[in-house]
Amino acid sequence: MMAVIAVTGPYLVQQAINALSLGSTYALLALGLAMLFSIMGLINFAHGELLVIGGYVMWALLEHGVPWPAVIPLTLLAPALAAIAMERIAFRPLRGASLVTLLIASFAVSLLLQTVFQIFAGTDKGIELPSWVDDVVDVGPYTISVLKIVMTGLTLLTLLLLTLFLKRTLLGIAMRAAAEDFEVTRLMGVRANAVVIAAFALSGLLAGLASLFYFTQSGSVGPFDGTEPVVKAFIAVVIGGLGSLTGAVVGGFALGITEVVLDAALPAGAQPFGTAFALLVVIAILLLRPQGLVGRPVGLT
Amino acid sequence: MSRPWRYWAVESAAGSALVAAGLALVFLYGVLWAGGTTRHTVLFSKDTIVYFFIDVVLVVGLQIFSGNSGILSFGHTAFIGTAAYAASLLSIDVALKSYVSPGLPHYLETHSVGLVPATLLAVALVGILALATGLVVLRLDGASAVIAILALLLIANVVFGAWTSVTRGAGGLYGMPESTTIGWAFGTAVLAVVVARVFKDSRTGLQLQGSREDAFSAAAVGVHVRAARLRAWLLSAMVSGAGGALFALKLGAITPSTFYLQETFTIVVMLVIGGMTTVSGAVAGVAVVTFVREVVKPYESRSLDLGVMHVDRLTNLTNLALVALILAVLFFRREGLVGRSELDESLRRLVRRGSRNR
Repeated sequence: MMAVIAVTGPYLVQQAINALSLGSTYALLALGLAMLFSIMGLINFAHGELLVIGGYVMWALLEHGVPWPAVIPLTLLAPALAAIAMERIAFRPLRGASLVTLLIASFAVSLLLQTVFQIFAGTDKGIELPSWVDDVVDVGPYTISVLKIVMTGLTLLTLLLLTLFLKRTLLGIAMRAAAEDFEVTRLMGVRANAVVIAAFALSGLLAGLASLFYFTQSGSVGPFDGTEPVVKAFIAVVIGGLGSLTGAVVGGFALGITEVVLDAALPAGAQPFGTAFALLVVIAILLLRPQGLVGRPVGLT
Repeated sequence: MSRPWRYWAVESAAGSALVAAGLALVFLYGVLWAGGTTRHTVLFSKDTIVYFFIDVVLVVGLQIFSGNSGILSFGHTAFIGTAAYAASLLSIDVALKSYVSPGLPHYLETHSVGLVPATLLAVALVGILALATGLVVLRLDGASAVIAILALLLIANVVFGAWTSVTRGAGGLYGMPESTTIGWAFGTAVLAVVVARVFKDSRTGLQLQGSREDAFSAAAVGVHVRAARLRAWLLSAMVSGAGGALFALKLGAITPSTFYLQETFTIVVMLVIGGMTTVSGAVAGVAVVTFVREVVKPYESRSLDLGVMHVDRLTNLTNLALVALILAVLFFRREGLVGRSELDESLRRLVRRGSRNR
């Protein structure tokens, strides 16, 4: 009996860290997506390319021997600037357009960036990672990656800071108000551009952080690397409940946990189908709670 | 009788006939001038024309659901892919089959069928899948529905890639007979146009368009929105499936990535450029995109010298053209080139206005 606990205890800790660190990446991306969706009704397909931009910036800087303390802030900043540019060029002319129009526009921007990456960067680039990303701590017979612990911690810290920003600062309060009702917020004297640009910048910043996590784990960056994480983040947003920021975070972690549990529970033959099973679980959740885990019931059905 | 019948009998027929006549002109061009498969002497090769007809089937298929319901589906590529895989597995030569796809049930492994039965069986399979998935995802609404439908595409992609004993995984299937002739492609395209137009003018179609404009009002006057969406979903998936089967049996080899986001984007762009609310818009969009694609493609192999850096190959330049096209349409003509009325409706209005002036 004791032996079982001795084995499962560290094992559970290891798997929990796996789930939380995977969930962290999803949660950060989902949060950025939910922010844009709640304020301007945009499902931003191009969010994944912000992640990739972060990856390319990281790669380019490391290639040129820039030290890590400089690489980290620049990797965070580049996607934020790209997000602002994206808003100015592609989405501002479409402000107030329907869900479908904005969706198609963001899909087009996503493809545009992928093609640009393909033309100018070509194949996958290996990122030269320092040795500390491979550091582990031993917990009984299992090892836990230090990076994953740091990732989880940083994500929680970011969520805390973001909550403070949204609750305590004028711009944060304006953003939350805009998410409730954009028109009325404007009538209160809040500048629409300020809110929208702040939302894009923040979502880019969160994508930058996710990018640091994602590419230090994958070790290489390619033109299409943004697709899978962003689609997972979409799913996370829907599980949590569209339009709810808390929901996006909950959904992100829920998806991470689902994937890790399935990964551990599925027989070897079914492993390649892991993502498909995770999506089926998600659809099952939506059947029971179409409004998501946190969201309020809306819509026809 | 009442107006809806006149709609069905006369206007749908007239509308479909106009679009079908346009397709027939392309068909004649394909048969008479665009002989062979090379493009030395003509702008459009016969292959291009065949793919044009297949794209018409695919885009019109998507129009049936998305155009009428207003819910843009990124999941139809899952149906296209499923039908493509099914039709391929049904028609690969028996001698090759056990090697390509050893996991098939014995009966399937030892029998192969031709283009028509393969397509029909693939369409039937897609119909069953569409019913099963539709009952689930169409319970959702708005953005949640869009994302759940996208999840279907992901699931399909995972299955195509992971079910290696049947699909050969990332390597894909090969060895299918390239049996989709220009005649079959043209015939199916015309059939798809007629089906889409008749559905659009049908009771369910009109109800669905009502729900597209205002779902709550439509529900308030007694429209069962979810049932109407489900019918459209089913029909739409099956038409897309027919296109997918023809597509696979034209390509001769398919991989999971053939049926993923790139294909989805191309189909969506075709639909939106022409105007997703109309069948003629869907067809016009395919024509415009096919034209642009053929013009741009030769430049993809060019290199580019920007001074600061040199680019060997303009990979996927076609995509950039499509992105420019779609953004231009979204910025300046959101309803698409054809707009909200079918070509025949606009034409009739034009004639009526002309005669009034005289």
